[in-house]
Amino acid sequence: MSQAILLQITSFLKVIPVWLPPVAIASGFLLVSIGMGAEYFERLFGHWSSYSPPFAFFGVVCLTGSIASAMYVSINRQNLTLLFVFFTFMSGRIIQGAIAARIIQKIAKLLFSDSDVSGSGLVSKVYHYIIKKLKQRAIVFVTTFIIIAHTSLSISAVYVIGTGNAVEAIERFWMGFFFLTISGMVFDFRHFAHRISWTAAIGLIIAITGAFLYNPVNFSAYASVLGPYLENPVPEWIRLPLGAVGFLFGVLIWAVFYTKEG
Amino acid sequence: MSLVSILSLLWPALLLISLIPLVLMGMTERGYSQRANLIIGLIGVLLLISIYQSSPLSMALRWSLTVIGFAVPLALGVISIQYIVEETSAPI
Repeated sequence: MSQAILLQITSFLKVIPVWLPPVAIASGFLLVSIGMGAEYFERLFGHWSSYSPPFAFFGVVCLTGSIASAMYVSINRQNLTLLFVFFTFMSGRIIQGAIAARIIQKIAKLLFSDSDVSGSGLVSKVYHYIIKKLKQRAIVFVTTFIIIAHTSLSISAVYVIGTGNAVEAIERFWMGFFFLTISGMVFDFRHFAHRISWTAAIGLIIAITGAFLYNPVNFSAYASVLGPYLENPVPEWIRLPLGAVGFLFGVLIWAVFYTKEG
Repeated sequence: MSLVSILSLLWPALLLISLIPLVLMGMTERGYSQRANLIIGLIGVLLLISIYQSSPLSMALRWSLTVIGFAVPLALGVISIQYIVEETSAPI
């Protein structure tokens, strides 16, 4: 009986739509390259009187196509898919590490900024800080609720009015999970997305989400239990440290920039 | 014909095409003559032919583009952290 339940859970974890992570990473990469390229072209050559934005954009699109094609050929010939996913995964983890470091720094600043504040004063300060943060997060709560409600209804529809095919329902679950991860990343990116251009920011969010799904650290606890049943591209004992190392690198890079900023 | 073989032919052509807007805008900016445009165009065509003909040159360029592609997400990640620090260093 327990074996049967275990196998059912395992098959559930395995049925991420196969096309979803690679398509997300590839399309995210294209958006990142086009966004970043357009930004750099504008910065480098924007002051020319002969500069024409549509013409330059055409050049950026062709350059992105060239880089993407050359990468595809190299990755295909040398089997480097996992390495590229790893790079994208790490870029997501370092950003998360930096955001965590920023939150810790804000809390530390709140607690230690004013040495005279103690007792009830400190409690009220912390209370107001938490309320402020919850208000800021309200939009994420609403978005999460909408995505979860939509995914639940969509999965129910498969059984109530649809074919009743379990695989279809599971695929809809993963699509919901994909959009939930994207909404979380968008919230993290709100501080700086306008600085790196929205095209690049959205591309990076989509690529990172694809890389997280390709290498789902969130499911590590389950995956390690079910290890023998899963066909993971990366062994579990490598994946967890990689995630932690990426996170620590993020904290480190944040600390370097923070120190420089003063 | 497989996708890899099509893309192997496509990337050098796209690389050269992507340089056309940049070169034309630069030439107009500096006020070069029609003849200079023609010479640059010929150099471009020769370069394209040599990429297709010379395997080491093609390989070196392809790997350079691959390294750039691999570095793009990480570079953007590091730039993002810099912006996180700049944008959020204001007092609470």
